[in-house]
Amino acid sequence: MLREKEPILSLHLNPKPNKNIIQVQNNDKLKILVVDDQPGMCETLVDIIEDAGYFIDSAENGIIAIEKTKASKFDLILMDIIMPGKNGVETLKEIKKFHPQAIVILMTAYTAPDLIMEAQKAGVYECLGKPFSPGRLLKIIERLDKEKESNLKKNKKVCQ
Amino acid sequence: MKNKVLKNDHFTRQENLPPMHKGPGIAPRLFFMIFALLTLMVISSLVAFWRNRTVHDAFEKILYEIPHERAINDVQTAITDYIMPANDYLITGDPVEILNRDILDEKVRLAFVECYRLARDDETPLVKRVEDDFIKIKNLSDEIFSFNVSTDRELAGKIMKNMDKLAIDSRIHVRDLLKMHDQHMASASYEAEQAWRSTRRWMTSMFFLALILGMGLATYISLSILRPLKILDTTATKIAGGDLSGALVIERKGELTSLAESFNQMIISLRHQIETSKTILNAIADPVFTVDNNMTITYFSNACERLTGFSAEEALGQRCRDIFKSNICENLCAIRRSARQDKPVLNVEIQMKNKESDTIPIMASASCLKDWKGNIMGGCEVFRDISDWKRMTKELKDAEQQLILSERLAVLGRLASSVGHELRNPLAVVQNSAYYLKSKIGEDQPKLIKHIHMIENEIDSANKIIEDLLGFSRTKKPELIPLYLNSTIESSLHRIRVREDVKIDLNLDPDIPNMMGDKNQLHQVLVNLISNAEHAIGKNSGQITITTKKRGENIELKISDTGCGIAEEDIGKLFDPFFTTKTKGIGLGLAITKSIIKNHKGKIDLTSVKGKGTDFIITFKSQTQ
Repeated sequence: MLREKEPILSLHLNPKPNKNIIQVQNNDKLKILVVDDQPGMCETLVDIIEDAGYFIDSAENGIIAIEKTKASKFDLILMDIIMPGKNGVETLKEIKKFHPQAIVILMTAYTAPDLIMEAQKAGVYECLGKPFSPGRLLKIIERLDKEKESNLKKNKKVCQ
Repeated sequence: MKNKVLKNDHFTRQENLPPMHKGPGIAPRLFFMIFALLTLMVISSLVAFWRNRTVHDAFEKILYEIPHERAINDVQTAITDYIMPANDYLITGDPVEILNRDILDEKVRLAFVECYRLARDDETPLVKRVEDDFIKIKNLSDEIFSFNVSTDRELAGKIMKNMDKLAIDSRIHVRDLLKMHDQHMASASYEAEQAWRSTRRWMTSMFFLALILGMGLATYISLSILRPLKILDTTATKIAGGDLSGALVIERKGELTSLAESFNQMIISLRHQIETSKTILNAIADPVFTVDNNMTITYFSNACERLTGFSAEEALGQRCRDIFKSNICENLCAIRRSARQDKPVLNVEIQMKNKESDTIPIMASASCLKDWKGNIMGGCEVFRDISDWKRMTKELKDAEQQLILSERLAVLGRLASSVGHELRNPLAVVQNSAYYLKSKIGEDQPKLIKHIHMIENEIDSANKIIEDLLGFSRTKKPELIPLYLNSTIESSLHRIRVREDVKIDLNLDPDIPNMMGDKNQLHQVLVNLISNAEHAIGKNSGQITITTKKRGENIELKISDTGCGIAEEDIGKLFDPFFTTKTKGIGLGLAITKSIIKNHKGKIDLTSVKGKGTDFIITFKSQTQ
């Protein structure tokens, strides 16, 4: 069992009114999209990641995900592989076409080696087998966020 | 005895019977015998005839002499008759007797005629002399009677004296004649006797000659007729006794030739029939044998020889039980005892032992042998080596079961796979929720934290079960590389944790050869077996011993525990998927273990004593094999 050092908050959960504030406050933070045909998965991940202080949105299938990504460029896309309509890998390929900087983490309950191979070719960042520990996911997000931050600082320095 | 090779289409045989005929046939022999006897009779008749003549002549001579003697006596009497009256007349002077003179003359004449007639050449002069004497005496007698006795007495006396003188002479002459006659008589008698004796001798010789000749011929002919019959009889007896090795040798045409030829033909066709039946019997691929009523083997086919290892010479005359060393004969006994003797006992499975005492499973059918009257004279048994068939049936059954099992496993695998995957999605959601709740619960809520932990732990075990299911559903082909099993075990054990009161002992043989194996899969095997052992030990303290050993070309890995052991009724099902005695676990560990070992071309066995422990023995092939 992985144990994370996480801030232990009181049970006064009220994420929605805080949503906009966080969104505004953390403009430079990582923008994340969760794509899963299972609403429970989307909701839980949204809650966890939002509470960790990131901007997060969800999409229930590949097509919506592509549209949302086109609308606002997400830094990180968490995507299920097996989905009705477009599957994760196909969606990944499409997104990479117009938004090559997007980091995609695939989540799967199935161990389908050929799909994973294809995803790796298409430039997937990591594959997570369901069920995975949300703590581990947060660690990855944290790392990516730091990377983004340092990249932004570099860019600013370059601009200045 | 002559040896002669008799050939026909099928056989070449050495003949060793005496020839049927020797010398002429019966008919010429009979003809010769009758001819010889007839000749003998003719010769005998001729001899008899010839001898008869001789005897007849001899006796005729005797018969001839008898009237001669009488005639001579008559003559003598006549002479006396003439002298006596003359004498009387002289004395008495009475001429009484003269009255009978004519009769006397006639008598004398006839006597002389007879005398002459019967006289022989040498006697005739003597008769003549007697006749002369008689004539003289007669004349003198006549002279006397012409005298008157009283007157001329003196002269008469003179004449009388002459007459007496003549009478004496005539007597002498007659005596000479008789003497001569006696001589003839004697010689004739002698001749007759000689002839008779000689005839008798001849006849006796002829009789005995004929007797001996006849007997000899009869014996010879009867023997010559009986001899071929005797040979026929001998041959027939031999054939009746079952010996068909010989045939009659026909040297020459005879009365029995056609009989002998038919006989030979019969022998050949009998032989042909017997050989044909034997050929057929021997050609039958399944072993066949027959027994008589004493269960003694009377026929033993080639296939029988091949299967049992006994040769026919060894088996014939032996008791059925001694040869087959099994209850194959019970079949035959059973059929004899049973009321329905016409019904054969079919397809009985029996274990038989061959000469080398190897047990052979056979399928036997028995039937009764009956003679033409319907009496049981033994039994006939046909059987078949069914070891191949049995093995094939078993293989087929095994394969079938294997197929059923693998099909079942495949279905199970697919089911497990889809169920497993589908379960992972809700599990992921549950885990996320639990995580979120945990992050929101304060330390002042220890009970809630405990429950969240319970949820997380159960998610872990549920995930473990799903892992097992999925692992079973995709038992991958092992990636075989050469490895040293001892090192694999040691490195595996670093990653395996057991309870503190369970001790793991290593007893590794450094001499084991390398083997081909997949490290990860072997690790999985060790994990499964050690976890089972740990579970078997339960809450007590115990010991697990891991032993490797070189066994010939193979490597033996033994994992023993001091646990509770396995119930005997469970041992058979132990490797079946989803069989478990644990309260936790879905029973795939040993199924996966077995499948892995099978993929390594190894073998897994176990021995277990309830309450004492279990030994799992795995045998791997070495790299070189």
